[in-house]
Amino acid sequence: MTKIHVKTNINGDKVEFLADPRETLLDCLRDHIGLTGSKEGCGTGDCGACSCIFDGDLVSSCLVLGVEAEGKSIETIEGMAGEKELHPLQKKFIEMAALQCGFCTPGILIAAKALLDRNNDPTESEVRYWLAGNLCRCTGYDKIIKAVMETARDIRETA
Amino acid sequence: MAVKVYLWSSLKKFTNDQDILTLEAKSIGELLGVLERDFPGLKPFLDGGISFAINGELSNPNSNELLPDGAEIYLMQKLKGG
Amino acid sequence: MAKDELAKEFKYIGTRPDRPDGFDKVTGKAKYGADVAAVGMLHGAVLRSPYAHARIKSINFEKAAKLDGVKAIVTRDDFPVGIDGDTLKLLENTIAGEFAYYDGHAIAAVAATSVHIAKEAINEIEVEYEVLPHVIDVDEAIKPEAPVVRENAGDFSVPEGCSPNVASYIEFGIGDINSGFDKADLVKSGRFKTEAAHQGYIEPHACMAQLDHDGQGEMWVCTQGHWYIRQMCASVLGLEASKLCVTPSEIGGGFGGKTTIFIEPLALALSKKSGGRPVKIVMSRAEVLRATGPTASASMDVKIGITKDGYLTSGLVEFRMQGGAFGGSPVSEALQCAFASYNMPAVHHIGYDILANRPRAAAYRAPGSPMAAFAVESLIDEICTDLNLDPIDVRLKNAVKEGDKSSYGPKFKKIGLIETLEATKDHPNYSISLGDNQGRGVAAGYWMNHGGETSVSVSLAEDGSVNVTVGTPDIGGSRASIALMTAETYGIPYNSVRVNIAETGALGFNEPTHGSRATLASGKAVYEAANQTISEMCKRVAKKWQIDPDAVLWDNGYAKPAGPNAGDFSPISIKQIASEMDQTGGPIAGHHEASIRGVGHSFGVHIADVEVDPETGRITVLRYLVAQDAGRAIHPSYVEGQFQGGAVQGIGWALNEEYVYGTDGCLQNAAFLDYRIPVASDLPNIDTVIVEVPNPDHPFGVRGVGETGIAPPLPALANAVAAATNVRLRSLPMSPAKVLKAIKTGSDGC
Ligand code: FES
Ligand code: FES
Repeated sequence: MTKIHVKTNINGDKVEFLADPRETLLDCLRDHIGLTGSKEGCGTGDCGACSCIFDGDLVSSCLVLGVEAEGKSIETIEGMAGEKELHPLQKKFIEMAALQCGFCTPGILIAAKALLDRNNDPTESEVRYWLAGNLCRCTGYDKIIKAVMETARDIRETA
Repeated sequence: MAVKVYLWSSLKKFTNDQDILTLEAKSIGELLGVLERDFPGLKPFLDGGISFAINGELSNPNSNELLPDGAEIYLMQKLKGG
Repeated sequence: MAKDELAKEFKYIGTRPDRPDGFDKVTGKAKYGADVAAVGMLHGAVLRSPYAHARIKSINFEKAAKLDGVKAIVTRDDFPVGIDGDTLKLLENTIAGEFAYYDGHAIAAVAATSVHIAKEAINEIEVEYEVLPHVIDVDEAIKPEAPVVRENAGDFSVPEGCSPNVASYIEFGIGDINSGFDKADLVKSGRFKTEAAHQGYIEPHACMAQLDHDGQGEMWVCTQGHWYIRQMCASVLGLEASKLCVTPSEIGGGFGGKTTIFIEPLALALSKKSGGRPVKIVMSRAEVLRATGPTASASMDVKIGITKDGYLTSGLVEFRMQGGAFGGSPVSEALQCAFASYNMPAVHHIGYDILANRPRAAAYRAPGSPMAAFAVESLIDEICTDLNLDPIDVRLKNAVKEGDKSSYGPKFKKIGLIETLEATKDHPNYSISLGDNQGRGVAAGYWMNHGGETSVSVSLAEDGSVNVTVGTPDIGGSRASIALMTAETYGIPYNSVRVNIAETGALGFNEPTHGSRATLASGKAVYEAANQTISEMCKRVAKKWQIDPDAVLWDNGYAKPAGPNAGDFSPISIKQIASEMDQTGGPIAGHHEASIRGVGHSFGVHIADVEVDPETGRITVLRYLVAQDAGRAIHPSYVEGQFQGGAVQGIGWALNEEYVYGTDGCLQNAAFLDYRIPVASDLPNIDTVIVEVPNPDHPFGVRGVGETGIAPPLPALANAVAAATNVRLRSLPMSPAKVLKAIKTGSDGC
């Protein structure tokens, strides 16, 4: 199939690639741009391992076509840390052992950041429901939820 | 040196209806040899892979492992783990 | 090891430092199975059977081969003939021969220049099937007149007159169960059923393989055990294992399901056929659910006798477990776990491993133990209710302890079930009062743990840090626990230790990260290897001081004179020894290889509080407590993580997860939307208590903590639901519809 030229912005960088129109944004990130931090756990929108920010919205990048990225701005896990420091969520996840195998972690971090960017004082239930689309098979979520709650508290305290 | 070997009971039909055998063996290798020689019906089970518990300690078969006198040895089906 | 040694305070063990691979895993840098590419790489796709049971009459791939970009197609004809025994089963499961045995069974594989072309080619392959009768349910499959899954599948253990689908049979016990039942004041029995559940790791199987015509090959694969993968691939392809080099990727969960081969030999065969180009295969989620894992489904009869003051007198179990088309359900493990928590005068166990037209069961966390726990612990709870006895007290009265003979024979050494039960009894969760439609359930669980074949090496770097190389992939923080044990052994900071996971060429054989063994076995081996380097360092210092090596001792990262008689020397640090290595005899390294012994049995006790909505049948887990004996928690956060993760997998199995088959024998829920694993909003926090009764046979007291936690949730939740509703569910999962029906009719029909 003829490929389509896509111009987009990823983690603040201008990026161009050629997409097969059947390819998802996740495929394009991973296979054309080499950003393999976003994971494919299902390809059907059920697991959240591919979570990205797409023009400000939290999306499952396996449900977005690569060609839709034209003119948009995309944030992936690779862009989450600052130049000098990890994002507070990333630090807290390591500190509180909120990951075991780490496969769900990029998606969960992206989703949690999207939550805290909107609401830095969520209740535990809000965190649990916000992350309900991100499957983790290893941790039972306990430490993930606690890490997000604690990060939110830290953010509030430093704000 | 005599050791006591405990078999699971479905093996009894190959050991003249005994599920506890007292055998002379100095090592696991010797023990397996004796079992095979005296009870040829056990061979497919032994070949299929088994685990041992020697005086309470679970282990993979090690034919060179020496057996203490009077050791209690349980033959068990090979264990899987997740 | 002496008792006081086990009680001693540690400097690093028991602390909670950041894991060494944390940075890579929160930034997306860590490379998992599907994250690599190579120059000239092809993409593979697999054609799978749409039928539960069929004869493959012909495969025509002429059209597919003509597609632009298709480089190789393999079928069973590309694999060696003359293979038998277990290797044949492995090969049959990898790629079908004359018969397709289950929906999703691999039939052919294609390598092409893109995934799209490979998938297109798969659709162009024409297969002529003759559909055969199938059987799915375990109780159906054991009937003598059931459709035969595979001819002559029963082994030498199967008694005469059994269904042709019985693959093997086992029976064992101790004592006289009949006189035990005679002595009982109450004898109760029941039938219990569990459905197959999938390990559900979020990372689908993925590998990249390259194989030349001369049999030299390389593989990158997400697996729990790359030596296993090498051995299995070599055996089904007729290769020399030593010519294959297998590198493990980071692994996105396994839980037992990534200890065997599926796509790996197909990728190798495709690579060879395409002239040695690298071939990458990544499974879809539907493929994962249809063709890998799951665990067995089970039908179980239990009979238990008890005195009115709560002493168990006798127990009998008959477990029938379906492990797919090739056998291999964990029925013997299930039997060993059934009564393992209790000291009973008489027990008898009977087990059938049964074939059905389902994917070949793979190991899943404490294989067999969850089903056994569901049956036995549910019935014990029924008994406690009937006799009005406290469920923890009854378990305490009967709990096994050091010196008791286990229900399957061998004597227990130091174990911690009693301590664990006491910890749950004392926990506030056990006394919180409950409201309407709420109930509390208690259950225990057991796993024997595993040591296994292990090889490690340790070397001193020039800067005085220590490199540790192990062969057990890090699924849940084992780099951190191994680094902590290494730091403790040397008395050097945690940050001075690097832990590498090596490919197959770098170490001797290693069993996978399975059986709760990574921290236990690699840790024990690293301790030995580190001590070799310590004695070498002491030797070198002794030479320098011109004293006897025995007069030098190692203390907290320093070589010191052993006592005043040894001489007056100032301690020399590991840093200094390392910096002088080149002038004192060259590199310092140690290694240790062994079949690791001295595993410590692991017991856990869980308490679940639930609320059942009487109108919808929906179960909400209100509170959940895991208490388990860890022996010693090396990195307590990751021990808690194992407890919590295991518990939630058990909760999923109890409440939602099941393989749903249509009348056509095809899997109907091969997606995460329909095969519903627990999500964050389904759950409360999972409270944990780490009980520490050190394993006397491990240098740091480790028992292995990974597996036990999945067993108790199945009965704990069923017991809680019974307490909330007065209705006993004896089959899983306890889906809302089933619960509602049970509330209305008084039983779930099992
Ligand atoms: S891969 Fe996109 S939601 Fe699972
Ligand atoms: S840490 Fe493994 S899936 Fe979440």
